[in-house]
Amino acid sequence: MTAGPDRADHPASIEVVGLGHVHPEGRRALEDVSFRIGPGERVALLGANGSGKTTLLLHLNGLLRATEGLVRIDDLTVDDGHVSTVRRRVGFVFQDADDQLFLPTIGRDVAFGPAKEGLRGAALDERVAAALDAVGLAGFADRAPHQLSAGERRRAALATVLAMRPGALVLDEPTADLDARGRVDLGRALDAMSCTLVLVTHDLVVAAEHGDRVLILDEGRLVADGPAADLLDDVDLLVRHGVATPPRRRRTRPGP
Amino acid sequence: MRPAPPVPGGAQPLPVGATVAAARVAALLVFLGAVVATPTRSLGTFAVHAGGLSLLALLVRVPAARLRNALLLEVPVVAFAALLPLLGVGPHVAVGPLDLSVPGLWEAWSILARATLGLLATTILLATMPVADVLAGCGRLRLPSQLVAVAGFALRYGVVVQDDARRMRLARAARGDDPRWIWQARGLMASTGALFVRSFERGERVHRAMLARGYDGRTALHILDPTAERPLRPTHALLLSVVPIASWTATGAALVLR
Repeated sequence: MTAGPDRADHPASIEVVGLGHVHPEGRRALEDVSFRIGPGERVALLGANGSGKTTLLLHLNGLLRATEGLVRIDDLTVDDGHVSTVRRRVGFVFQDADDQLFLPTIGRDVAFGPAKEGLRGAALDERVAAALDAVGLAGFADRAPHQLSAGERRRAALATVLAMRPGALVLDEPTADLDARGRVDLGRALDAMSCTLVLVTHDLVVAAEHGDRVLILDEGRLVADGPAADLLDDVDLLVRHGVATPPRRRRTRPGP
Repeated sequence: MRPAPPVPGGAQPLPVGATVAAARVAALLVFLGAVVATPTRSLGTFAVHAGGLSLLALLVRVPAARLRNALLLEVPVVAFAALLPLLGVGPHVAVGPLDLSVPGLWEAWSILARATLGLLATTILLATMPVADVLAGCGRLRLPSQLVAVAGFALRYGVVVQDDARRMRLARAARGDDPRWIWQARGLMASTGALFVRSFERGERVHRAMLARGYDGRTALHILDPTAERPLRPTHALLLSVVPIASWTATGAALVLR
């Protein structure tokens, strides 16, 4: 595994100002969310189910457009005029790798993004090889996605995005359903990256491993933003916002 | 590295690259053209097509089990063709207790012969290279990119949907659902509906994931083919052309002599 191919581009900054979002059925998903993530920062986004984490991520890549507030990637506002540039700058790794890997072989899937940017021939092959190498899947280019384990598929999905050399990487629950080995392998791949990182997770260990900073969402509002070392030690805060379970005393069985 | 799972009925074919794949797909299309153009009552010409395919199957060592399994796909066609002699008009002939339409019999033969030859030829092609290469070959031949993309999605997500269906069957069985008769198939019908809805939702998620990587509906997927590939050797090209040429020669003769 070598250093990721993302190193070629500079890490991106992300700025969210007063972002709000209401789902088509009328449910409010985000309300007045504001924060700034500097270039190269690694941020874990925490929150209970339905707190708006994925909706927020979708705004960062331009898959959802802000109707209230704004999102800025570097100096670009995420709107119709800049969305293709934004999607090149912000790579999105979806929760289910089967949603992301849509082509018959891993190599062609990894080639998809760079080919859209105009890369062809040997340069495209090199980009694909570098991205697969960065996630420890060198030699997997001709495999079909269903021939890979869940952990390998997750890393292949990461490679599809790394091949586009994003300045920021956004990951939606990257370790969900992964066994210990899969988590270690994915963790290594993430550690090797220098780009800005935003990852959504329910796993506090993963948040501590990969996040220098933690954001907590609760019912669509940003309720905490601070260093991971401080926030992840604040059990009351985590419990109050549904991110951690309250400590429980081991239940003892009644004697005979 | 996890070994690739075995392909039913044979070993995993090795990648061949887009040029060789395109030549093989072109040979298949030319052969299929000859089959389609063959006059229905020219049994000798159909025999030439079948003989050519048999030789090819022996030459590339396609397991008989794989060809047999492929023919199972033809069952709905057989069911349809079986109705034609019963429902057809025109002169009739008595076959045992049945009074069958002669034009209906020829129509049934026409459908079955062409479908069988087409299916066997496609199976032989698929046995010689990975499906991804077949799609690459179609792309290289400039077949409509949307059709090639749809075929690719169908192949890719067929496996995923199959896996979903397997998990749903296990979930039903774990709760005691073991339908043996049609009136016990309520759970099966319900989960088929659920599978359809899930697949539709997955389609939306896949589209969103494609958009996230810049998809705009205009991507010609053949540009993704790796550049390192085997060249098409003259002997290979000659071998590929033998069966289509023989088939078109027989078809041409049949058309002239008709």
